[in-house]
Amino acid sequence: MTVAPLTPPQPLLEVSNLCVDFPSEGHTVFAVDDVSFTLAQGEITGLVGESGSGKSVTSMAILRLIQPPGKIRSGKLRFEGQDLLTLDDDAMRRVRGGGIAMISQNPANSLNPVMTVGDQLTRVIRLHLGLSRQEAYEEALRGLRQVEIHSPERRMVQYPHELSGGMCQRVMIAMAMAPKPRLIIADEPTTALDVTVQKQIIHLLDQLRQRHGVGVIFVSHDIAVVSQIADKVLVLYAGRAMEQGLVNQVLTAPRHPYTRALLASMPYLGASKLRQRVPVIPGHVPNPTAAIKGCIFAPRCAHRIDACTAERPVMVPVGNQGAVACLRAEELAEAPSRLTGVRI
Amino acid sequence: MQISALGRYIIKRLLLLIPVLLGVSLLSFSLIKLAPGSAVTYMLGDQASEAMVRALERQLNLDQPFFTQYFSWLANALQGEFGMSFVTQIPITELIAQRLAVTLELSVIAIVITLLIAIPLGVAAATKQNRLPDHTVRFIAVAGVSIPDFWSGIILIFLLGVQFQWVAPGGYTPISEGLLPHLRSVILPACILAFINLALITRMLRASMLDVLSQNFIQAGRSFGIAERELVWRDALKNAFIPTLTVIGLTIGIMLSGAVMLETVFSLPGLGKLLVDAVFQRDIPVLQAVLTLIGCFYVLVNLFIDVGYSMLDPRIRF
Ligand SMILES: Nc1ncnc2c1ncn2[C@@H]1O[C@H](COP(=O)(O)OP(=O)(O)O)[C@@H](O)[C@H]1O
Ligand code: SF4
Ligand SMILES: [Mg+2]
Repeated sequence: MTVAPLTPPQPLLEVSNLCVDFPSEGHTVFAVDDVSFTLAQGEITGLVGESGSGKSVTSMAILRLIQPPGKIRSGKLRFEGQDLLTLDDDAMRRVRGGGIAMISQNPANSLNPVMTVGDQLTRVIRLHLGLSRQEAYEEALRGLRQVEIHSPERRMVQYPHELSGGMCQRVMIAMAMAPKPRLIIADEPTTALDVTVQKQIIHLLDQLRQRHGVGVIFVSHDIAVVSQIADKVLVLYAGRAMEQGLVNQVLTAPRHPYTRALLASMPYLGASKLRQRVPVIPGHVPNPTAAIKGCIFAPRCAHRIDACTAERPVMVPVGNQGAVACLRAEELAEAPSRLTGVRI
Repeated sequence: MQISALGRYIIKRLLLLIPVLLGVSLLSFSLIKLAPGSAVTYMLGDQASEAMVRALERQLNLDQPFFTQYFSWLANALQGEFGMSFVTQIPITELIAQRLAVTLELSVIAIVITLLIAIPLGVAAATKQNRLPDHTVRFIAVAGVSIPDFWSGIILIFLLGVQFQWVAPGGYTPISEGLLPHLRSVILPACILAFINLALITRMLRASMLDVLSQNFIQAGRSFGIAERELVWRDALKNAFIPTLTVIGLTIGIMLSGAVMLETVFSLPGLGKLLVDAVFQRDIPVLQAVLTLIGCFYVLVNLFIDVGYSMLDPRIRF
C-alpha cells in the first residue's frame, strides 16, 4: 500500500525578503526593505502602517509594476509556485489581472474617463478569458450583478463620471473579479469612501473570498478597518516589517511598540466610527535610507535603549504564527500595562 | 420632434454666432473706412476733378450715411453678393470662389501633415523622455519659434525647388493639369505652413500625454494586464488629444495668416494673395469681402472644434 506524500498545501503567494529601492540624487530610498510573508488560498492578510510605510510599493512590487528608476533589488515572489521575478513580460502581463488583480485607493481615478464602463469591463474580460464580444458582455453583466449593482445594463453604457465613488469601486471589484483571479490586492479600497459604503465594500470582499476562495491582501493605514476583515496582519513601518500574526492576537496582545502605538492612537476600535480618532503617533515616518542603522522605529519609540540604534532587530517568531522585530519584545511583554506610552 | 443634446447644443452655438458674425462683418467693413485717403481718390488718381469724385461716390453709394452703407452692403453680402472689384471689375463672389479652394486645400494639407507628424512625435516624446524623439521635439520647437516662415520658405524654395527640383519653386498648377504637378506646386508651402504650428501642437500633445500617463487609471490599466502599447495609443492618446484639440483651434488663426504670407511668397492664387493684392491696390470691396469671409471662417472652425471637443469628452455636458 502506498501512502500519499504529506505535502503541506502550497501557499498562494510567498513574498520572501522583498527589497524595493528608489534611487534619487545622493541617496537611495529603501521603500521596502526585507519584507516577507505568505498568503494561503482564501485567506485575507492585512497590510497596515502609517502613510509612507511602503504598503503600496509592496503591492506594486508583487505585480512587478514598480516604475523606473525604482526597482526590486532583491527577494523572491512566488505565486502559485511560479517565480514571478523570472517570468517574461508577456507571461507577467497575463498574471496581472488574470491571476492577481488589484483594486486601488481612488476608484474614481482608476477608470479611463473617456471610455464607457462596459468597454473597460469587456476589454479586461476578453483579454484574460478570450471570450467573444457578446460572451464578454454577458460576463460583464454577471460581474456587475455580483457586486450588487442595480440595472447593470444601464451602467454598461455610462462613463465613470456618471457613477458615484462607491459605484466606481464596485465596478473596479467587478473588473478585478471577472477574469477569475486567485489573488486580489486591495490597496486602501475604502479610504476614499464614506463609512456606509466602506462597510458594504468590506462585506463584498469578504463574500467574494468565501464564495470563490480568492486570497486577499487588504492594504490600509487603518488597523481598525483591517481588523474587520483580515485573518492575519502584517505591520509595516518605513518599509520594514515590525510585527505579524493572527489579527486577534496582534490586536489583543501587540508585541511591538509600534503596533501598540498604532492601536493606542485608535481608542475607539470597534466603537462608533463617527467619533474622531486621536491623532496618530507623534513624529513622522522617516525616509528609509542607508544612513539608518538599528531599529528604524527608534527615534519615535518610548522604549528605546542604546542597543536599539546599534543593531537591526530581526523578525523573531512569537506565539502561534506570529513574529516581531523588536530587541525588547520579550522583555516588554512581561509588563504590558505600562507599554502604550510613546515618546513625544 | 426629438433633438439630441448634441443637436440642441449645436443649434444654440449657431444662434450665439449671429452677433459674433455681425461684429466681424461690421469690423471688416468699417476698418477700411478708417484707412487714410478715400478709395475714390485712389481710383481716379490725383488729377480727378471734384465733380468726377462726387459722381463716382454716388455711383458707389459712398455719399450715404455710414450705417446705410453698411446695411445695404450686409443685405447683399447675405445673398452672397459682394459687388464688383474696383480694380478688375470682376464680381467679387467669383474672385473668391476661384481663390477659396486653393487656400482651403493648402490649409487642409497643412493640418493633415501637422497631425501626421505631431501625433507620433508628441507621443514618442512623452513615452521616451529625454531621448531622441524628445530632443527632436525640442529642436523643432526652438527652430519653429526662431526661424521666420518667409525665410525658411525662401531657403526651401531654393533647395528643393531650384537646386534639386523636387517640387515647383513657385507658381501654381491647377489640378486639371494633372494630380502630380498640382501636388508638386502646393506641397512645399503646405509643409512650411504645417511647420508653423507643428512645434506648438507637438509640445501641447507631449505635455498632456505626460499628464495623462501619470494618472491613476493608466497604472490601473497596467495592473489589469493591458498592454503598454494599447494604454499609450488608445487610453492615453484619446484623453490627451482633448486639450490638444483646443490648441489646434487656436492655431487656425496663425495658419490663416501664414497662408496669406506663403501664397505671396509662392505666388499661389489663394485668398491670401487676393487679400494682399487688394491691399496694395486699395481694392476696398474685395478687402471687405475677404476679411469678412476669413473672420467667419475662423469663428466657424472654432465652433467645429468645440463640437468635436464635446464629442470626444463625455464629461462635457451641454
Ligand atoms: N515613485 C517613487 N519614487 C520615489 N520614492 C517612492 C516612490 N514611490 C514610493 N516611494 C517611497 O516609498 C515610500 C513608501 O511609499 P508607499 O508604498 O506609497 O507608502 P504607503 O502606501 O504605505 O503609504 C514613500 O515614503 C517614498 O519614500
Ligand atoms: S527595537 Fe528598540 S527602538 Fe525598536 S521598537 Fe524595540 S524597543 Fe523600540
Ligand atoms: Mg499607499
